[in-house]
Amino acid sequence: MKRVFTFFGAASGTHLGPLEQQVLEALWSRGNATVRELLEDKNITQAYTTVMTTLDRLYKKKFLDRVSEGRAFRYSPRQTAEELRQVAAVEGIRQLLGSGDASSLPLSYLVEALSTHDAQLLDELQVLVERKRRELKKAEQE
Amino acid sequence: MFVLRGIAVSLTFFVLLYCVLSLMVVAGWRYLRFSRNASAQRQANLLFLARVSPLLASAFVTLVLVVPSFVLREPRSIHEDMAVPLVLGIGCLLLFALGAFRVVAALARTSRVVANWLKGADALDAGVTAPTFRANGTPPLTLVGVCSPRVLVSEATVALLNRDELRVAVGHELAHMRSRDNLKKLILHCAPFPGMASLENAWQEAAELAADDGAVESICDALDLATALIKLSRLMPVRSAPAFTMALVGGPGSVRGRVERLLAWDESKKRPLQRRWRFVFPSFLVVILCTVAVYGDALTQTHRVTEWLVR
Repeated sequence: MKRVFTFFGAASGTHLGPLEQQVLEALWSRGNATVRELLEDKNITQAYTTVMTTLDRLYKKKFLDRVSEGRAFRYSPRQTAEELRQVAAVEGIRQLLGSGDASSLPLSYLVEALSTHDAQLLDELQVLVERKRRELKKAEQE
Repeated sequence: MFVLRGIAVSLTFFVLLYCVLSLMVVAGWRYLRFSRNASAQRQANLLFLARVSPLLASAFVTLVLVVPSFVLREPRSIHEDMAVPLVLGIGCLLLFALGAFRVVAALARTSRVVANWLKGADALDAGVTAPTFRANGTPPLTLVGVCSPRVLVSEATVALLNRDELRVAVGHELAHMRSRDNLKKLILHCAPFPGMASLENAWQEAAELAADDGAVESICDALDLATALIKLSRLMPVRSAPAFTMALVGGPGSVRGRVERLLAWDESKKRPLQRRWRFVFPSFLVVILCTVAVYGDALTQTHRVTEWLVR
């Protein structure tokens, strides 16, 4: 998840600090929350005002929506973790493709990375198949 | 004039109903729920049925209700304005022509590519009874042909796979052949509608899983097919496959998901096919009886609707 935030921060120019990441993750798991509810979960140990400021900052960065509830605000994430990942990936790839002098070069890096990833995945799957074969042979011998 | 008006009205009704039903399918197919123990074949069949249901239902309603209602209820001597039904009818004919052109173009392209693939192809003994050929420059393993399907195996595939892996991999294509998946692809081409691509992908993915199931008789077969999938996935695809072919690798659905599914194979998954045909005849009889019972009223109502539509 941290890599996503880093990627996102780098891609969009909107940096997310560690506490902002922590608060956003807490909101994803809860769906929505007030400052007090986040503090009641005990996952966030910072002071009330610190969390309140962080939530306000995330709202201003357009990561959160909020509705007033009495004297406080109830915050909810604008995007799911998956949607944010997608935005980060698309933004990152767009920047990567626009970064090189030769436009085909970044694309070739991407293809190479994907090919390497595919090859690794196939190697892992082959290992799983071989393991299963060995288990079967062992079971037959016993 | 009467016949011309009848054809125009029927065509208009058909296309309007087809569009409405297709929109409903596009919006609602994701809500299809399968029981946990539903086989991949059953899922593929249901997805295919969902995809072609607008075409079938529109054709059924037009032929069974709209055409007879026009013939029996429409006064022959009446002189109505023909402009609206004629314009809509011509629009419908253009849509049909577009669909037909799409199918013919895809068929021609497939035939051309397959003819090239078959040049210099030799018969291959893969331990199965179906016509199997070894060819150069083809995708690793492909089922080609709608009316007389054949399995094409590339030279690289023959070199990469051992005999058991090849037998079970060809068995996968034979399962596609038994399910007439190329013919189903052709039918899908006949009924184009925007937004149906995701449903067609879901069907194709389920058809691949069903073919995996159809090829596997034991856990050893499952492991051989998994190995074949992994080996062939390492090959670079030759080019995009033409429309009416089914390939072992390179289609929708992840290799990882298919391999993991094969690794989890056990004897219980090789269930005998349930004979559901015994329910078909009584159901068909009930539908016929119901239709006969309300046919007169249904014709009158349909005639009203068609009158309202073309005015």
